[in-house]
Amino acid sequence: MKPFFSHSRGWMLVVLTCFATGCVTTTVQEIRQASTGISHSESVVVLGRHNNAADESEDDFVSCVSSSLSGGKNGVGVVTEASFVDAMFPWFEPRTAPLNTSDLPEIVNQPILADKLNSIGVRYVIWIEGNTHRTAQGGAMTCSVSVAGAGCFGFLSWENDSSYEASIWDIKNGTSVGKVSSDANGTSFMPAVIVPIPFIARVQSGACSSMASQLKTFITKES
Amino acid sequence: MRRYVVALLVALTLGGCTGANVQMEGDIPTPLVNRLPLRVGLYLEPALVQYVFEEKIQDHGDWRVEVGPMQAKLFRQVASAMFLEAVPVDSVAAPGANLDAVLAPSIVEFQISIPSQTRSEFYEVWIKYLMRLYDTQGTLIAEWPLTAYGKANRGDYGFMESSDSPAIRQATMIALRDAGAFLALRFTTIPEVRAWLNSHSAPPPQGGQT
Repeated sequence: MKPFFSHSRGWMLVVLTCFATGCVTTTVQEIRQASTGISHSESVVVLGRHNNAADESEDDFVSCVSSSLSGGKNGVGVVTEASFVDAMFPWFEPRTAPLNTSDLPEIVNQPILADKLNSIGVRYVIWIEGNTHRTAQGGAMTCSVSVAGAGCFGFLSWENDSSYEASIWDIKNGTSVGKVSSDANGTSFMPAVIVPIPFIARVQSGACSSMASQLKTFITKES
Repeated sequence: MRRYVVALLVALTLGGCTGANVQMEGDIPTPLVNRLPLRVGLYLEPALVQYVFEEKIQDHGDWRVEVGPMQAKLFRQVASAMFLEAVPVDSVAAPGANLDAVLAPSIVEFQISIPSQTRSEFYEVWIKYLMRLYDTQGTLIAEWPLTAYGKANRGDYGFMESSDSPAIRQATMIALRDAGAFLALRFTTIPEVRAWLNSHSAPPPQGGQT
Protein backbone atom coordinates (compact mmCIF):
# COMPACT_ATOMS: atom_id res chain seq x y z
CA MET A 1 0.00 0.00 0.00
CA LYS A 2 2.83 2.32 0.92
CA PRO A 3 4.65 2.06 -2.45
CA PHE A 4 1.39 2.84 -4.28
CA PHE A 5 0.89 5.86 -2.05
CA SER A 6 4.45 7.12 -2.72
CA HIS A 7 4.03 6.50 -6.43
CA SER A 8 0.77 8.43 -6.61
CA ARG A 9 2.22 11.22 -4.48
CA GLY A 10 5.12 11.44 -6.92
CA TRP A 11 2.76 11.76 -9.84
CA MET A 12 0.75 14.35 -7.96
CA LEU A 13 3.94 16.35 -7.43
CA VAL A 14 4.70 16.19 -11.17
CA VAL A 15 1.15 17.22 -12.05
CA LEU A 16 1.20 20.09 -9.54
CA THR A 17 4.59 21.26 -10.80
CA CYS A 18 3.32 21.16 -14.38
CA PHE A 19 0.18 22.99 -13.35
CA ALA A 20 2.16 25.70 -11.59
CA THR A 21 4.88 26.26 -14.20
CA GLY A 22 3.82 24.39 -17.34
CA CYS A 23 5.63 21.23 -18.45
CA VAL A 24 8.79 21.56 -20.53
CA THR A 25 10.58 18.65 -22.19
CA THR A 26 14.18 19.31 -23.24
CA THR A 27 16.57 17.29 -25.41
CA VAL A 28 20.24 18.17 -25.84
CA GLN A 29 22.61 16.62 -28.36
CA GLU A 30 26.31 17.12 -28.92
CA ILE A 31 28.64 16.45 -31.82
CA ARG A 32 32.34 16.74 -31.10
CA GLN A 33 34.74 17.27 -34.00
CA ALA A 34 37.90 18.18 -32.10
CA SER A 35 39.28 18.40 -28.60
CA THR A 36 38.65 21.52 -26.57
CA GLY A 37 39.83 23.24 -23.43
CA ILE A 38 40.09 26.79 -22.21
CA SER A 39 42.61 28.61 -20.02
CA HIS A 40 41.79 31.27 -17.44
CA SER A 41 43.06 34.02 -19.75
CA GLU A 42 40.79 32.92 -22.60
CA SER A 43 37.11 33.62 -23.14
CA VAL A 44 34.22 32.79 -25.40
CA VAL A 45 31.68 34.93 -27.25
CA VAL A 46 28.14 33.89 -28.11
CA LEU A 47 26.84 35.40 -31.34
CA GLY A 48 23.44 35.19 -33.00
CA ARG A 49 23.38 34.50 -36.72
CA HIS A 50 21.66 37.38 -38.50
CA ASN A 51 22.13 36.46 -42.14
CA ASN A 52 19.13 34.13 -42.38
CA ALA A 53 15.83 35.57 -41.16
CA ALA A 54 14.16 32.16 -40.88
CA ASP A 55 16.68 30.84 -38.34
CA GLU A 56 17.52 34.07 -36.58
CA SER A 57 17.66 33.66 -32.82
CA GLU A 58 16.03 36.02 -30.36
CA ASP A 59 18.42 38.50 -28.68
CA ASP A 60 17.30 37.40 -25.23
CA PHE A 61 18.16 33.75 -25.99
CA VAL A 62 21.68 34.71 -27.06
CA SER A 63 22.10 36.85 -23.92
CA CYS A 64 20.68 34.06 -21.77
CA VAL A 65 23.20 31.50 -23.09
CA SER A 66 25.99 34.06 -22.73
CA SER A 67 25.20 34.92 -19.11
CA SER A 68 24.55 31.28 -18.18
CA LEU A 69 27.97 30.31 -19.53
CA SER A 70 29.70 32.88 -17.36
CA GLY A 71 27.74 32.04 -14.23
CA GLY A 72 27.64 28.98 -11.99
CA LYS A 73 30.31 26.69 -10.62
CA ASN A 74 32.38 26.12 -13.77
CA GLY A 75 31.70 29.48 -15.40
CA VAL A 76 33.91 30.48 -18.31
CA GLY A 77 35.02 33.96 -19.32
CA VAL A 78 32.46 35.48 -21.68
CA VAL A 79 32.71 38.56 -23.88
CA THR A 80 29.31 40.08 -24.67
CA GLU A 81 28.04 39.99 -28.23
CA ALA A 82 27.78 43.77 -28.50
CA SER A 83 31.27 44.50 -27.23
CA PHE A 84 32.82 41.81 -29.46
CA VAL A 85 30.99 42.95 -32.62
CA ASP A 86 31.90 46.59 -31.88
CA ALA A 87 35.54 45.72 -31.23
CA MET A 88 35.74 43.68 -34.46
CA PHE A 89 33.74 46.15 -36.58
CA PRO A 90 33.16 45.72 -39.53
CA TRP A 91 34.09 42.02 -39.69
CA PHE A 92 31.20 40.48 -37.72
CA GLU A 93 28.27 42.50 -39.07
CA PRO A 94 25.21 40.55 -40.36
CA ARG A 95 26.41 40.68 -44.00
CA THR A 96 30.15 40.47 -43.41
CA ALA A 97 30.48 37.84 -40.67
CA PRO A 98 32.26 34.61 -41.65
CA LEU A 99 29.77 31.90 -42.58
CA ASN A 100 32.20 28.98 -42.46
CA THR A 101 35.48 28.24 -40.77
CA SER A 102 37.04 28.43 -44.24
CA ASP A 103 36.38 32.19 -44.03
CA LEU A 104 38.34 32.52 -40.77
CA PRO A 105 41.88 32.69 -42.22
CA GLU A 106 40.96 35.94 -43.98
CA ILE A 107 40.34 37.39 -40.53
CA VAL A 108 42.87 35.74 -38.25
CA ASN A 109 45.75 36.14 -40.72
CA GLN A 110 45.47 39.92 -40.76
CA PRO A 111 47.76 41.38 -38.11
CA ILE A 112 45.39 44.21 -37.16
CA LEU A 113 42.56 41.71 -36.53
CA ALA A 114 44.75 39.06 -34.93
CA ASP A 115 46.07 41.67 -32.49
CA LYS A 116 42.55 42.71 -31.59
CA LEU A 117 41.45 39.11 -31.08
CA ASN A 118 44.47 38.53 -28.84
CA SER A 119 43.73 41.63 -26.79
CA ILE A 120 40.09 40.58 -26.32
CA GLY A 121 41.22 37.05 -25.45
CA VAL A 122 38.43 35.27 -27.30
CA ARG A 123 39.26 31.61 -27.98
CA TYR A 124 35.86 30.24 -29.01
CA VAL A 125 33.12 31.83 -31.10
CA ILE A 126 29.75 30.18 -30.55
CA TRP A 127 27.22 30.82 -33.30
CA ILE A 128 23.59 30.35 -32.32
CA GLU A 129 20.86 29.59 -34.84
CA GLY A 130 17.23 28.69 -34.25
CA ASN A 131 14.25 30.15 -32.46
CA THR A 132 11.13 29.50 -30.43
CA HIS A 133 7.74 29.49 -32.07
CA ARG A 134 4.16 28.60 -31.26
CA THR A 135 3.15 25.27 -32.76
CA ALA A 136 -0.45 24.98 -31.51
CA GLN A 137 -3.05 26.95 -29.64
CA GLY A 138 -6.64 26.45 -28.61
CA GLY A 139 -9.47 27.52 -26.36
CA ALA A 140 -11.35 30.77 -26.03
CA MET A 141 -11.60 33.60 -23.56
CA THR A 142 -13.99 36.50 -23.31
CA CYS A 143 -13.28 39.65 -21.36
CA SER A 144 -15.68 42.48 -20.72
CA VAL A 145 -15.65 45.84 -18.99
CA SER A 146 -18.83 47.42 -17.65
CA VAL A 147 -19.83 49.93 -14.99
CA ALA A 148 -20.28 46.96 -12.65
CA GLY A 149 -16.68 45.84 -13.12
CA ALA A 150 -14.38 43.89 -15.42
CA GLY A 151 -13.70 40.20 -15.80
CA CYS A 152 -12.74 37.34 -18.10
CA PHE A 153 -14.08 33.83 -18.57
CA GLY A 154 -12.64 30.96 -20.57
CA PHE A 155 -9.59 28.79 -21.08
CA LEU A 156 -6.60 29.24 -23.40
CA SER A 157 -3.74 26.87 -24.09
CA TRP A 158 -0.78 27.04 -26.41
CA GLU A 159 2.27 24.97 -27.18
CA ASN A 160 5.71 26.43 -27.85
CA ASP A 161 8.61 24.68 -29.50
CA SER A 162 12.25 25.74 -29.22
CA SER A 163 14.94 24.46 -31.54
CA TYR A 164 18.46 25.88 -31.34
CA GLU A 165 21.87 24.83 -32.58
CA ALA A 166 25.23 26.18 -31.44
CA SER A 167 28.28 25.84 -33.68
CA ILE A 168 31.54 26.20 -31.77
CA TRP A 169 34.58 27.57 -33.59
CA ASP A 170 38.08 27.55 -32.21
CA ILE A 171 39.20 30.91 -33.52
CA LYS A 172 42.81 30.31 -32.46
CA ASN A 173 43.11 27.26 -34.72
CA GLY A 174 40.51 28.33 -37.29
CA THR A 175 38.52 25.12 -36.94
CA SER A 176 35.04 23.99 -36.05
CA VAL A 177 35.22 21.91 -32.87
CA GLY A 178 31.62 20.78 -32.61
CA LYS A 179 27.92 21.48 -32.32
CA VAL A 180 25.41 21.43 -29.50
CA SER A 181 21.69 21.41 -30.19
CA SER A 182 18.92 22.03 -27.71
CA ASP A 183 15.25 21.33 -28.37
CA ALA A 184 12.46 22.00 -25.93
CA ASN A 185 8.69 22.04 -26.04
CA GLY A 186 5.95 22.70 -23.55
CA THR A 187 2.32 23.66 -23.15
CA SER A 188 1.14 26.78 -21.35
CA PHE A 189 -2.43 27.38 -20.27
CA MET A 190 -4.52 30.17 -18.83
CA PRO A 191 -7.87 29.49 -17.17
CA ALA A 192 -9.98 32.52 -16.35
CA VAL A 193 -12.89 32.87 -13.97
CA ILE A 194 -13.09 36.65 -13.60
CA VAL A 195 -9.28 36.86 -13.24
CA PRO A 196 -7.06 35.06 -15.82
CA ILE A 197 -4.32 32.99 -14.19
CA PRO A 198 -1.46 32.12 -16.57
CA PHE A 199 0.60 28.93 -16.16
CA ILE A 200 3.52 29.55 -18.49
CA ALA A 201 5.81 26.78 -19.73
CA ARG A 202 9.24 28.42 -19.86
CA VAL A 203 10.28 26.66 -23.06
CA GLN A 204 12.92 29.09 -24.29
CA SER A 205 14.42 29.37 -20.83
CA GLY A 206 14.61 25.56 -20.61
CA ALA A 207 16.37 25.36 -23.97
CA CYS A 208 18.78 28.08 -22.86
CA SER A 209 19.80 26.51 -19.57
CA SER A 210 20.21 23.07 -21.16
CA MET A 211 22.31 24.45 -24.00
CA ALA A 212 24.48 26.60 -21.74
CA SER A 213 25.10 23.71 -19.37
CA GLN A 214 26.13 21.41 -22.24
CA LEU A 215 28.30 24.11 -23.85
CA LYS A 216 30.09 24.69 -20.58
CA THR A 217 30.94 21.00 -20.31
CA PHE A 218 31.84 20.81 -23.99
CA ILE A 219 34.32 23.69 -23.81
CA THR A 220 35.92 23.05 -20.44
CA LYS A 221 36.23 19.27 -20.76
CA GLU A 222 39.63 18.67 -22.30
CA SER A 223 39.23 15.62 -24.54
CA MET B 1 -9.47 52.70 -11.06
CA ARG B 2 -12.12 51.94 -13.69
CA ARG B 3 -11.25 55.20 -15.42
CA TYR B 4 -7.61 54.13 -15.69
CA VAL B 5 -8.56 50.74 -17.17
CA VAL B 6 -10.73 52.42 -19.84
CA ALA B 7 -7.98 54.95 -20.58
CA LEU B 8 -5.47 52.12 -20.94
CA LEU B 9 -7.75 50.23 -23.35
CA VAL B 10 -8.32 53.39 -25.43
CA ALA B 11 -4.57 54.07 -25.49
CA LEU B 12 -3.82 50.53 -26.58
CA THR B 13 -6.46 50.69 -29.32
CA LEU B 14 -5.26 54.03 -30.66
CA GLY B 15 -1.63 53.04 -30.14
CA GLY B 16 -1.84 50.80 -33.18
CA CYS B 17 -2.14 53.86 -35.43
CA THR B 18 0.60 56.02 -34.02
CA GLY B 19 3.66 55.00 -36.10
CA ALA B 20 7.02 56.14 -34.81
CA ASN B 21 9.14 59.23 -34.37
CA VAL B 22 12.76 58.18 -34.13
CA GLN B 23 15.82 60.23 -33.20
CA MET B 24 18.97 58.24 -33.81
CA GLU B 25 21.40 57.87 -30.95
CA GLY B 26 24.50 55.83 -30.23
CA ASP B 27 27.99 55.50 -31.59
CA ILE B 28 29.56 53.95 -34.65
CA PRO B 29 32.62 51.85 -33.76
CA THR B 30 35.97 52.61 -35.37
CA PRO B 31 36.49 50.21 -38.29
CA LEU B 32 39.41 47.79 -37.97
CA VAL B 33 40.99 48.38 -41.38
CA ASN B 34 44.44 49.39 -42.58
CA ARG B 35 44.61 53.07 -43.37
CA LEU B 36 45.28 54.10 -46.94
CA PRO B 37 48.14 56.62 -47.16
CA LEU B 38 45.86 59.38 -48.38
CA ARG B 39 44.69 62.78 -47.15
CA VAL B 40 41.04 62.92 -48.06
CA GLY B 41 38.48 65.68 -47.77
CA LEU B 42 35.03 64.62 -46.67
CA TYR B 43 32.17 66.62 -48.14
CA LEU B 44 28.87 66.01 -46.38
CA GLU B 45 26.13 67.81 -48.26
CA PRO B 46 23.33 69.47 -46.25
CA ALA B 47 20.76 67.06 -47.73
CA LEU B 48 22.65 64.16 -46.14
CA VAL B 49 23.33 65.79 -42.78
CA GLN B 50 19.75 67.03 -42.37
CA TYR B 51 18.02 64.01 -43.89
CA VAL B 52 14.70 63.07 -42.32
CA PHE B 53 12.68 60.11 -43.57
CA GLU B 54 8.91 60.58 -43.40
CA GLU B 55 6.19 58.23 -44.58
CA LYS B 56 2.56 57.71 -43.81
CA ILE B 57 1.75 54.01 -43.81
CA GLN B 58 -1.91 53.27 -44.32
CA ASP B 59 -3.54 52.10 -41.08
CA HIS B 60 -0.20 52.29 -39.28
CA GLY B 61 0.32 56.00 -38.78
CA ASP B 62 3.16 58.37 -39.52
CA TRP B 63 6.75 57.16 -39.50
CA ARG B 64 9.60 59.60 -39.12
CA VAL B 65 13.30 58.83 -38.75
CA GLU B 66 15.82 61.64 -38.18
CA VAL B 67 18.80 59.85 -39.64
CA GLY B 68 20.85 62.83 -40.92
CA PRO B 69 23.14 63.55 -37.93
CA MET B 70 23.94 59.85 -37.48
CA GLN B 71 24.86 59.58 -41.17
CA ALA B 72 27.31 62.43 -40.70
CA LYS B 73 28.78 60.66 -37.65
CA LEU B 74 29.03 57.41 -39.63
CA PHE B 75 30.93 58.83 -42.59
CA ARG B 76 33.29 60.89 -40.38
CA GLN B 77 34.10 57.85 -38.24
CA VAL B 78 34.61 55.47 -41.16
CA ALA B 79 36.63 57.93 -43.26
CA SER B 80 38.91 58.76 -40.34
CA ALA B 81 39.73 55.04 -39.99
CA MET B 82 40.11 54.40 -43.73
CA PHE B 83 42.52 57.19 -44.56
CA LEU B 84 45.68 58.67 -43.10
CA GLU B 85 43.69 61.84 -42.65
CA ALA B 86 40.09 62.78 -43.33
CA VAL B 87 39.16 66.43 -43.02
CA PRO B 88 35.77 68.09 -43.51
CA VAL B 89 35.53 70.31 -46.60
CA ASP B 90 32.85 72.73 -47.79
CA SER B 91 32.82 71.71 -51.42
CA VAL B 92 33.82 68.83 -53.68
CA ALA B 93 36.58 71.03 -55.09
CA ALA B 94 39.33 71.87 -52.60
CA PRO B 95 42.30 73.02 -54.68
CA GLY B 96 44.44 74.61 -51.97
CA ALA B 97 43.77 72.18 -49.14
CA ASN B 98 46.76 69.81 -49.61
CA LEU B 99 44.46 66.84 -50.16
CA ASP B 100 44.65 63.81 -52.43
CA ALA B 101 40.92 63.56 -53.08
CA VAL B 102 37.47 64.44 -51.81
CA LEU B 103 34.92 61.80 -50.82
CA ALA B 104 31.28 62.88 -51.12
CA PRO B 105 28.44 60.57 -50.08
CA SER B 106 24.85 61.44 -50.93
CA ILE B 107 21.66 59.67 -49.95
CA VAL B 108 19.48 58.43 -52.78
CA GLU B 109 16.77 56.45 -51.04
CA PHE B 110 15.61 55.39 -47.57
CA GLN B 111 12.88 52.80 -47.19
CA ILE B 112 11.32 51.01 -44.27
CA SER B 113 8.92 48.12 -43.88
CA ILE B 114 7.10 47.01 -40.77
CA PRO B 115 5.95 43.49 -39.79
CA SER B 116 2.29 44.11 -40.59
CA GLN B 117 3.20 45.11 -44.15
CA THR B 118 5.38 42.11 -44.92
CA ARG B 119 3.68 39.56 -42.61
CA SER B 120 7.09 38.77 -41.23
CA GLU B 121 8.63 39.26 -37.80
CA PHE B 122 10.96 42.00 -38.94
CA TYR B 123 11.20 45.77 -39.12
CA GLU B 124 13.45 46.43 -42.10
CA VAL B 125 15.41 49.42 -43.38
CA TRP B 126 17.09 49.88 -46.75
CA ILE B 127 19.36 52.82 -47.52
CA LYS B 128 20.92 53.59 -50.87
CA TYR B 129 23.82 56.02 -51.07
CA LEU B 130 25.73 57.27 -54.06
CA MET B 131 29.41 57.58 -53.28
CA ARG B 132 31.57 59.93 -55.32
CA LEU B 133 35.31 60.45 -55.25
CA TYR B 134 36.66 63.68 -56.75
CA ASP B 135 40.14 64.98 -57.33
CA THR B 136 40.98 68.28 -55.67
CA GLN B 137 39.91 70.21 -58.77
CA GLY B 138 36.41 68.79 -58.44
CA THR B 139 36.73 66.31 -61.31
CA LEU B 140 34.91 63.06 -60.76
CA ILE B 141 37.24 60.07 -60.28
CA ALA B 142 34.71 57.40 -59.36
CA GLU B 143 31.04 57.01 -58.62
CA TRP B 144 29.44 53.88 -57.16
CA PRO B 145 26.27 52.89 -55.31
CA LEU B 146 26.46 51.81 -51.67
CA THR B 147 23.41 49.90 -50.51
CA ALA B 148 22.74 49.05 -46.89
CA TYR B 149 20.23 46.85 -45.09
CA GLY B 150 19.22 46.41 -41.49
CA LYS B 151 16.50 44.51 -39.70
CA ALA B 152 15.19 44.12 -36.16
CA ASN B 153 13.12 41.23 -34.86
CA ARG B 154 9.73 42.27 -33.47
CA GLY B 155 10.07 39.54 -30.85
CA ASP B 156 13.01 41.37 -29.28
CA TYR B 157 10.89 44.43 -28.47
CA GLY B 158 7.84 43.09 -26.68
CA PHE B 159 4.30 43.12 -27.98
CA MET B 160 3.31 46.72 -27.34
CA GLU B 161 3.03 49.20 -30.22
CA SER B 162 5.52 51.38 -28.35
CA SER B 163 8.13 48.90 -29.56
CA ASP B 164 7.93 50.44 -33.05
CA SER B 165 10.37 53.27 -32.36
CA PRO B 166 13.15 51.21 -30.73
CA ALA B 167 12.82 48.50 -33.38
CA ILE B 168 13.05 50.95 -36.30
CA ARG B 169 15.94 52.73 -34.54
CA GLN B 170 17.80 49.42 -34.21
CA ALA B 171 17.10 48.41 -37.84
CA THR B 172 18.34 51.84 -39.00
CA MET B 173 21.47 51.56 -36.86
CA ILE B 174 22.24 48.14 -38.32
CA ALA B 175 21.73 49.53 -41.84
CA LEU B 176 24.10 52.44 -41.09
CA ARG B 177 26.74 50.05 -39.76
CA ASP B 178 26.21 47.91 -42.86
CA ALA B 179 26.90 50.98 -45.04
CA GLY B 180 30.03 51.75 -43.04
CA ALA B 181 31.18 48.13 -43.26
CA PHE B 182 30.85 47.92 -47.03
CA LEU B 183 32.41 51.35 -47.57
CA ALA B 184 35.44 50.41 -45.46
CA LEU B 185 35.85 46.90 -46.85
CA ARG B 186 35.07 47.46 -50.53
CA PHE B 187 36.47 50.93 -51.24
CA THR B 188 39.62 49.67 -52.94
CA THR B 189 37.73 47.07 -54.97
CA ILE B 190 35.86 49.73 -56.97
CA PRO B 191 37.65 49.51 -60.36
CA GLU B 192 37.89 53.29 -60.91
CA VAL B 193 39.15 53.82 -57.36
CA ARG B 194 41.72 51.05 -57.74
CA ALA B 195 42.93 52.48 -61.03
CA TRP B 196 43.22 55.95 -59.48
CA LEU B 197 45.09 54.57 -56.45
CA ASN B 198 47.56 52.79 -58.74
CA SER B 199 48.13 55.95 -60.76
CA HIS B 200 48.34 58.05 -57.60
CA SER B 201 51.32 56.07 -56.27
CA ALA B 202 49.25 54.89 -53.31
CA PRO B 203 48.51 51.30 -54.30
CA PRO B 204 45.89 49.56 -52.18
CA PRO B 205 47.21 47.04 -49.66
CA GLN B 206 47.33 43.43 -50.83
CA GLY B 207 44.05 41.62 -50.17
CA GLY B 208 41.88 44.72 -50.34
CA GLN B 209 41.33 47.51 -47.89
CA THR B 210 42.69 45.60 -44.97
